[in-house]
Amino acid sequence: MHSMKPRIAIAAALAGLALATPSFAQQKDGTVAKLIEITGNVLVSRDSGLTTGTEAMRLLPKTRILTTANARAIIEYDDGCRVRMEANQRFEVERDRECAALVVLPQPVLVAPLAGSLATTVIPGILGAAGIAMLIDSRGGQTVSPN
Amino acid sequence: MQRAALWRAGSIAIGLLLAWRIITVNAILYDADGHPRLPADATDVATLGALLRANPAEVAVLLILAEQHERSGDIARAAGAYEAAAQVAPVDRDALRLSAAYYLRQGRMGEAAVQLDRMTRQSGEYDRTFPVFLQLAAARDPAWASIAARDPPWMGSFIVTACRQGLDPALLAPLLQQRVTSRRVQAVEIDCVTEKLRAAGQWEAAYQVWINTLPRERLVDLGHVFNGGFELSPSGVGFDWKVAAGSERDLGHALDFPTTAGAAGKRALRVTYSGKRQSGPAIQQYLALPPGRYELAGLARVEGLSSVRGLQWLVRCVEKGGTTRTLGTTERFLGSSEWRAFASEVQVPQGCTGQVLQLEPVGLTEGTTYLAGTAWFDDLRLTRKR
Repeated sequence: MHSMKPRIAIAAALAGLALATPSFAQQKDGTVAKLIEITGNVLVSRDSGLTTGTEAMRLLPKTRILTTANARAIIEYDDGCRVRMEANQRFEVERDRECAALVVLPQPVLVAPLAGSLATTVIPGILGAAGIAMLIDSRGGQTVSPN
Repeated sequence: MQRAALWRAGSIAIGLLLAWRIITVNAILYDADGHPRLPADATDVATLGALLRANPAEVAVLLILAEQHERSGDIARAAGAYEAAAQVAPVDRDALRLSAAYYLRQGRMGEAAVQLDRMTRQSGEYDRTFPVFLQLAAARDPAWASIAARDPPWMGSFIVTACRQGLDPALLAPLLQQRVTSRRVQAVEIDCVTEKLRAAGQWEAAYQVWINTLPRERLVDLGHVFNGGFELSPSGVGFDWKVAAGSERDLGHALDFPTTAGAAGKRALRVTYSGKRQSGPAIQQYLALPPGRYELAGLARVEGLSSVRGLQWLVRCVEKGGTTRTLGTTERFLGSSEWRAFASEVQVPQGCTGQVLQLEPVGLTEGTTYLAGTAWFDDLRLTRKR
């Protein structure tokens, strides 16, 4: 019984290691994923620069993917992990990372304007004065009334 | 006959009466510049009331009464009068302007924006309405978003104005994209927004905005150098080639893209130097290279190119504030030669997010340089080295 314990512990450790480390099947050409479900213009980096991505295009690690406006694509890793890209995002194909970490990697390239709730509530007062001044300017600084 | 004469005389009398009424009404309602004005005393108010009863569609009366109601704190009546004026005369300049001003005073941005939009469409008073739109846009006001979503005809002019006046280019990028989709975008809009993003150090966003404006066929092979074969005339926009502006006499060189044999493709770049002093690069292109080692290669041919130190291509890192540092240069071109290949190495360090590729005389930044002769270039490209 005592001799079984270390064996069980080693087996459990190995099993844990196998579960913790993502196992990416790497093809002979070094690619680890492919581009699928492309909508719009999706660009893929090559040594010579960006080129248009095509359906089922194989992807090497360190390849940059760029979606243009109104474009979408999915990067499907050979282990089944699917990374969804929306419009105006970039993503660099990485290996040796867990799927949960990969799917959150696509980053927006264009900064979306902030909701600016504070600005919208505070600024109108200032804006009103400035805007009105601008609008009535054509009257030589006078309002409707000459009084 | 008598009946006809009577009819004619009656018509004339009615016409004269109407003319008199218009003159007197206008004298009461409008100042010398043609703007509505308030009556000086209560008698005039009574007159206004009578006029309004006689003609409920008299816009000037409505506007004057609206302002009086507003002054006396009767907001509901003021609003009613402004709204009536806007409905009666939806394209009247004063009705639009004064009701917009009223809505702004009341903080009713949505209604103000609608009136300002109408005013801009009608009379194109950009100098008056754009400053308000600028503030609405900067404040990310929903009223602005609503107007912008319609992509009004004045939006192109607004983008250029707002861009030049320093509105955050990140706010302009979505407006530009909308105009790309509707195919209404102009080169001047794209160039201003990408330049401002670049100047703000947002190279990646600038590049993204620019590629979003390119037609699909131009995306097939973007390359690290765009249009390195010079097959298409440079647009001067974004990350395309930019040619020095000015006359040959001022610049000391002329530049064109003729068809030629012996190089790649059909056309090539030709720069003819007149022997005069050179003040800047003849042509340049901004780049957004990721860090790494690259080979800058191409084809060159020179015809009697005479200068003390020659001509070369340089890749420079563009740092914040516009300062640059050289990342790599090609060989120096001088004398005469047939078409031949050239190549050199460029190293883009970490942190250098934007670069510029330039053709200039060696030592341009060190002192006076003179150049005479002709240089041809083709198939210019940057290839990443592993």
